[in-house]
Amino acid sequence: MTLFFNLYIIVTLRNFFKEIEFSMNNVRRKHSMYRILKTISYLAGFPLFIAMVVIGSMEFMSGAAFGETKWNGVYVAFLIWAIITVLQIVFSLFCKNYKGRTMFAIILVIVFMTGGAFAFDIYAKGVIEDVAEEYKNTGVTVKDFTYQVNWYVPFSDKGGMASSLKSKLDNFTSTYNIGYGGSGYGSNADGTESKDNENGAPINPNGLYKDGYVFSTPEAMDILITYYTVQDKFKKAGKDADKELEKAIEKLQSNSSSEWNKYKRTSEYTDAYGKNGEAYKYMLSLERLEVIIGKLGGTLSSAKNADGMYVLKGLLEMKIPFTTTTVADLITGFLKDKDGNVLLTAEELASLITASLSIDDILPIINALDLFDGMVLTEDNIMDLLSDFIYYQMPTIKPVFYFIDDADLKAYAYAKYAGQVHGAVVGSVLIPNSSGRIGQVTFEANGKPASEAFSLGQIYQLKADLEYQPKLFPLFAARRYMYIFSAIVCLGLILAYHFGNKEKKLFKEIYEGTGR
Amino acid sequence: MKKFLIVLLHLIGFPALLGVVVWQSIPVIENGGSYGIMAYLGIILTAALALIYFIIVIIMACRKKMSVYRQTFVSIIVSAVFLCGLWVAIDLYVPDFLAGATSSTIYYEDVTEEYINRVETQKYLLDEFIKRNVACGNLTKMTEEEYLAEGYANAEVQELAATQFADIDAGYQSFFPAPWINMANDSRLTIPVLVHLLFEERLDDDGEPVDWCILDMQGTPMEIGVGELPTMITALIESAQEPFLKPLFESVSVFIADPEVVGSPIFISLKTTDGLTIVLTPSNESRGVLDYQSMAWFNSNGLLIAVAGVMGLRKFFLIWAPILIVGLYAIGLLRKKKPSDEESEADSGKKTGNGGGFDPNANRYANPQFKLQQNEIMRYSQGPSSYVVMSGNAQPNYGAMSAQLMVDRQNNVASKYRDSDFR
Repeated sequence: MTLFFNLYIIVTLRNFFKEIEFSMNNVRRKHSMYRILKTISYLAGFPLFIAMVVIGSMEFMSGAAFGETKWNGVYVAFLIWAIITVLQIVFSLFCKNYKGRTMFAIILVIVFMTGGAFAFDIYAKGVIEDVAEEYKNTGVTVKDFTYQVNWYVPFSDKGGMASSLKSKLDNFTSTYNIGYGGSGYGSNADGTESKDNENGAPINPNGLYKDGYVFSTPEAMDILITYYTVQDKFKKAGKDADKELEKAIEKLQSNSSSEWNKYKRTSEYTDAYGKNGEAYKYMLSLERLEVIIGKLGGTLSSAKNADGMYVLKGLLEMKIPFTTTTVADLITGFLKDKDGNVLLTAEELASLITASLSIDDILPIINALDLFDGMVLTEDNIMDLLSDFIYYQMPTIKPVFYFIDDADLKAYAYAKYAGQVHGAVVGSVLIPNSSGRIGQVTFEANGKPASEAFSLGQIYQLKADLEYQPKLFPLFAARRYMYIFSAIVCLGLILAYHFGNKEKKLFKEIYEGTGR
Repeated sequence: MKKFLIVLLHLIGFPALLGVVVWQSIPVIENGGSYGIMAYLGIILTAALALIYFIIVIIMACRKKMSVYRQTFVSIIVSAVFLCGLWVAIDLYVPDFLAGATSSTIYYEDVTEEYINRVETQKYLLDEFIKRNVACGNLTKMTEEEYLAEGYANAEVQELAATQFADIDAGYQSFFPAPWINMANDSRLTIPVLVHLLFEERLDDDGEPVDWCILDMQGTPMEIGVGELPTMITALIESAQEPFLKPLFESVSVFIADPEVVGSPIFISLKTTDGLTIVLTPSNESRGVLDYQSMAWFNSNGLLIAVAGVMGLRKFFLIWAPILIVGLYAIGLLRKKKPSDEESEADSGKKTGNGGGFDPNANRYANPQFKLQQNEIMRYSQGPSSYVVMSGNAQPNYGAMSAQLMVDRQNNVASKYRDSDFR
């Protein structure tokens, strides 16, 4: 009996140990399960919230409109998570009770997520109202906050306001061949330093843009707004802004005691544009043009072919194929005045082409041929005519329109110079000149027709939109999911803490072998 | 057999990688061989890494106290760093560095996957430079074939390359700080910009006029389309080309080369296919010089070939990284089968469990893993069986208790008893 009993105890104890082992496996399984549930609960909170904000910000990842602000919504989401997590950690140093920690975490979520979204709504509404107020007399449409907060990136399968802003901006920049931010290609040719204005555009001491500066979108919009608004102002007064500008400049140039002519007598100006002036290192001067013309004349007149024949003479004597006319006859046919009288023969013209050929020899012929619609060319105005191509405006020398008294006309002059002359140099014409083209007018491209230029209303609308939409829309993405996820994050934290507590208890049981 | 496998697994690591690198470096050596050691830099790098790796492996193997596990782990880490980590760091920092160093003319992607194209381009530049200078009479001591065969190894070619680059570089630098040349290179060549580039006064460091113009920098002819002309005018131009227009344009190119005009010859010609086109050809070819960008690349040819030769190995290193790691892991497993390895593992003091955590595989009687609370014991049971809860000072009647348990077991009864039930 005792033997039997001992055997039974042994068997029982062996079964006991096996069941302890089995029960410990069960406890371990439960421990793992609670750990997984805790992790899932936590992931369903903040991490999922951040992931949704990232997804909601995808619309801003392309295009220049949101280039600098595209991640702002995500940053806000991360910041909220970081703040709440840090505060949770700090609180846990003082409170060991998991229910207390849970309550604290939930309160933080309500304050920062729900409260934060609510406070943001108040702020954003104020911003939009301010913009609407600023542009109220310009015909700009600014939808109210309740509309924009839904339609900035709609859930529905329809284009939203963010997409519309991007395409408007792309259209503007491609029309005028500029970027959203300005760009430069080097310094001023003479090395003069420039200073940035409020838009970050580099401005020379004379108020004009730095050499090679390509306008930013805000800067281009300001130029065009100035140009159009002053034009409208003069139009309402029954005047033409271009004609008024021409008159003002003519007055400054013709009046010997005008501020402009006084300025031209200063050493500052004469050092630049006087005899052997500094500016002529960077441009073609009349003197240099004379030298070039003389050398060209000498080259052409002395050129001979392999047979020793003068090339010019040989060319003139050539017969035009399929005719009995010589080249000389053909050219003579073109050298007629407006009355049809022959001015000079081709041979006489060729005899002028020598090493002593000068502008004085060419100008009478050009004027007699009336190539510029009645305009008589002189040595002075020929440089003005070519100034768009060969003139260099020294960065430190004031232009003539600096001395215009009328503030509006002066601003108009600066805007027109920037949009036409500076724009033509850099290949981003904002205001069409005689060519009637805007944008990329270069050797490689012919720009766009002036009819595609943005109107004043369109520019104001784009400017107003750019003032607040890039700033607010990425934050709308965070705001949208802050409202949606406040409750989800709360629930996730409650479950995470609960499962965490369960996990902790089971771990203690496994570790210390405490039974239940 | 085991030893054979271990040796084989070692061989498919760095030795095999070195073989692949040598094979893939053949185009680099063929195109850049005249640049000496630069063409072999990829092979040298691989061999150096392999040498360092094997030195580490041998040192570890000689250290008796180091377990096989630890040796394997360290070998894997070293392989991962050399073959993978190195390239992660390079991918992070070299793209911006390379773009900056080459003024955004050569990018990282041009020298990794496209490394063969890059070295072939560099070889082409070298050959083209030699051909132009033989043709214009700057290289006269050997035939063109002989110069091409020697390549950059020829001292005369080296000296000429340095001189020519310094000359055109001085010309290029004279365009700055003005923005015009950068605008021309960025599709913003307007008439005012061209006029500035052609007619602005430009002096070199010695105050002498520069004899290179913008077209020389670009190196390619500029075509200006005039448009369609009447047939007879086109025929006139074609018939006047040889006797009159060509000599005339030759004279004009001399005029253009005058420092008062442009300072560098520009060769003018006319094309009459598809309307009249005026073609302005720069003087690069006649002076034995490539365009500026090509000359800048050519000036750094050796370095670029070395960079391409090294960067081109990226793909092979990344492919070999997991192969080597798997091989090392297998070597570790093969070596670990030895009994001495298990003893050394035990001697290293490795313990099971996590400082008291339950390990179902441990010998529960030899190394108790949990303390039993003597005050209360609860048995967990899944099947129908009775159990007894024993209190701390239990003194039950074991006979009665076991009898009852037996009866319950026979009758498939599951009841809970306390020790006090059997006193």
